[in-house]
Amino acid sequence: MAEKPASIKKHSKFMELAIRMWKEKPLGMVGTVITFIFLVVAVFAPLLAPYGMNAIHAKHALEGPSAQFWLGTDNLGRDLLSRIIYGARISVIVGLVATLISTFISTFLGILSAYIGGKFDLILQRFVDAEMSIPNLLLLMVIISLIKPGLWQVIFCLGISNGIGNTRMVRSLVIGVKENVYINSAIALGDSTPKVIFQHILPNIMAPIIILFSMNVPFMILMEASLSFLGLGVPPPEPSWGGMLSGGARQYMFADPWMALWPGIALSLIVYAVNMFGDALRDLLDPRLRGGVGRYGNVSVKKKEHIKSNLPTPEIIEKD
Amino acid sequence: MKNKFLLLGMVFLLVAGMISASSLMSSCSNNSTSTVSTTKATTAASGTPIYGGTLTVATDWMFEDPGGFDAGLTPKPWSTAVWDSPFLCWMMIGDIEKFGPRGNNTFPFQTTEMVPEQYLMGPVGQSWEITTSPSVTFTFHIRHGIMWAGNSTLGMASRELTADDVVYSMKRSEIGTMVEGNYKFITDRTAVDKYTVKLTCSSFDANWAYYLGYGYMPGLITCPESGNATIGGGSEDWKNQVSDGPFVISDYTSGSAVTYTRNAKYWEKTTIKGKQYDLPFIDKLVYPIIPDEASQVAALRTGKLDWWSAVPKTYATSLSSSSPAMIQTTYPADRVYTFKMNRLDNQYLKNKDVRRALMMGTDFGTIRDLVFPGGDLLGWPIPRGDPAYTPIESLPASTKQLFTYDATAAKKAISDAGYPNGFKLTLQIQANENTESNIAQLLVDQWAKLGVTLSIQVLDSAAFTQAGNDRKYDINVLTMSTANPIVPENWAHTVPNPPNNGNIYSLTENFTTMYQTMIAESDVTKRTQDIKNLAIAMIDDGAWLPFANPTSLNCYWPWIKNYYNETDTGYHNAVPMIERMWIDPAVKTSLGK
Repeated sequence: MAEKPASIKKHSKFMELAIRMWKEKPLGMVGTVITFIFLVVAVFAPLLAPYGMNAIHAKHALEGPSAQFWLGTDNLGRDLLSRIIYGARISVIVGLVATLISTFISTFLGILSAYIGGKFDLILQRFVDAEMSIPNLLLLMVIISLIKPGLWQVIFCLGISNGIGNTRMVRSLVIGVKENVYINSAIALGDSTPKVIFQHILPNIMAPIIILFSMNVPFMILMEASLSFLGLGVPPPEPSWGGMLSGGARQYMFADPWMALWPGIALSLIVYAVNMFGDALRDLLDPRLRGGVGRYGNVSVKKKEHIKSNLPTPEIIEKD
Repeated sequence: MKNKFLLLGMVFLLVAGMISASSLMSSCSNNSTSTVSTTKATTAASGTPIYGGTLTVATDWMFEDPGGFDAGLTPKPWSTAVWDSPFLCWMMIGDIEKFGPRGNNTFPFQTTEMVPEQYLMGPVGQSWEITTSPSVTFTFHIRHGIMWAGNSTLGMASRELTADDVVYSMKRSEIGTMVEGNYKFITDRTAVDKYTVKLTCSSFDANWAYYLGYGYMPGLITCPESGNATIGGGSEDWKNQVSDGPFVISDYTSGSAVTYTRNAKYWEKTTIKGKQYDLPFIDKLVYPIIPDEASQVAALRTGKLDWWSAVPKTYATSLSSSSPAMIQTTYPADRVYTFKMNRLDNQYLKNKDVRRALMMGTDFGTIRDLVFPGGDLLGWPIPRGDPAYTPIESLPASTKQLFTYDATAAKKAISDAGYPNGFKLTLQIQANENTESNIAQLLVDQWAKLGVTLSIQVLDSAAFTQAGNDRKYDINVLTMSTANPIVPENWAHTVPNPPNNGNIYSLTENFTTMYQTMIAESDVTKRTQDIKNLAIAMIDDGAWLPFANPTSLNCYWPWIKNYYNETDTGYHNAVPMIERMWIDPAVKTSLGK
């Protein structure tokens, strides 16, 4: 008697991805949860922080964790927990917005460069080469020194410089897709260039772009922290985790280690979390590694189900 | 599924462990603000002088090579004076035996570049007279019996220092040199006789003692035979130097140290418990050359450095714990952080009432406690200890009010000045300057209560300097030296109409008159009062926010005897203290050094 056929459930793409992540990538799920927590903290910072970001409690300077100040205070008597919470806003804003700008620029330039090709591609890629040959941090330091530090200056500088650098990757994706027959067919049928790009090319490179986005977020957060550590990031009293590490934390590191510990943990956690999330997303979305959830698949199959046939029962090896 | 939870559990444990570790560390650490032990210095009462031994002392230029030793023509007079001080005598220095803590304790001798005129003595210029009528003249009576030690390299035998040597040295270092501008007021320099030097001047300059006596370059008297040397490296060569000071330069190794040995022909003596002793007590003095701070601190920590009078304060706690036997004391630093509000073209800051209100709305005490712990609340423009210093409690009522924090009164004053809704100002600070950043963030919080929104603009140092010169700021930072309040650059920040410096302009109406009166006053008592009045006028005007005078850290090992916490007797000059120190070998051995 034939076994029941493999059950087919239909889920939304998002749910499908989430379920697959939970089952197949638990570390990625941990990263996702942590990232989500940081997002919530960043959005609701004024509600969650027990004190203002620059509320001075002079008599409580350099105190350790206590009932009143859960993570202790810094050298100016400010609550470290509140500053960590407000610092999450800076990291989230810089991470997301700068990455959005970077992704937009790399996608736009990469598609143009690959699709148009020829001399345009040659010249544009030489500019990209020149930008990539300059050390990223050094370039940012010079630009920020010229235009003066500030949150939006940092965001745009990070976004633009990183976007130009990632153009190469998007370009290679487009080149791969461009050679497909359906693209030539679309062109032969008279589709305009924008239509070809938006209807045929872009959807087929969206998954890697999403992965690129998720991988760039921690990089942007770290770069912002580096710039703030060097004094060229977000100006005080706005709390940036990197700036917190550079300021009193460095001076009081041995006497009062929590000033360096908490921002360091926060930075490490969010970078770790977003990296894990990005790794997991890449593994799930990359069709070469797994049957992907994309335009052509929205079906989940129970792992242990198989269709009985006359062939010998295959040995099922469970993945961890 | 089991593995998933195992993994999640491990992650949780890792994070929890880190949190626990930090809590443990924090509970073990000192929760109070780092403090410096202020053990009193050892005194002469603690023993009989012991001759011999080697003292290794950190100078303020320990981080770089001297390069050369010609005090008169060096391109780096600010540092060469320090390297030359052990083997050359100054025209004038601070009299630590009479006025310092080992004397009547009138002046602490802890200011880097300044000694009030009334506390000077003359190693070379033993005494002096000043006349202002019919012309301005300075007459120095040269000390008898100061011997140049001679120099075999130059073929020079030992001989007495004379007035001709002093005139030679003065002319050489004052005419046609980088500091020539300071000496334009001197029209003639003459050796009247073997022991008398007379300077004829076109005007009197209140800063004469710094220029002629204990400031860098001309204050140090160069031996003509050394100055005219042509063999080897010429006048810059250490082998061509001729000593009249407590030591003779005996070795210089680039990148390592300058070594000096005791000068047997040195003239000076000291009296301890009624008995007279020849100076110096030690056989050898070493000034090391250590470029990086970590190595400098390591040398101090391990006893390789016997004395360092300007240790970075961040090391106070770790030095206390690693070297508990080391003696640490603090003293007022000679630079004060001020925030300049001297913008007459700013609609808010040009109003004196607004400036004064901002001062009243600044909690200087909290800023002192958090940023400059242990510092003097008021140490600008005159430092505590100077005869022209006025403590806050003795200031006129209107000036004292500026240091009494009252946010309510300040807010009302701003409202009365026409700004009931407050206003916005921008403060420029330099990148990577934690002190400036800390003060600025405190001000943001304090002035918010007055309705004043202060936004901080961080600039790298080049951009900061340019903005200052171009006057493109509302408020910016200036660390002002309190080392020598008479030196024009300190006061000139308020002198009007300089064509080439955007930082300078006048606020007080009769400041120029007061300043010119002070600088021309030859009577030191009257001049001291003039300086007092000028200082009060500057503070009262509210053009600067003068923050507390930070403290500097002085560290030395307990085997050093006969030391009273002095740090300077003139221009970065610690030699008068060094020559009076002796080393107790028993103490050194007991500490395993």
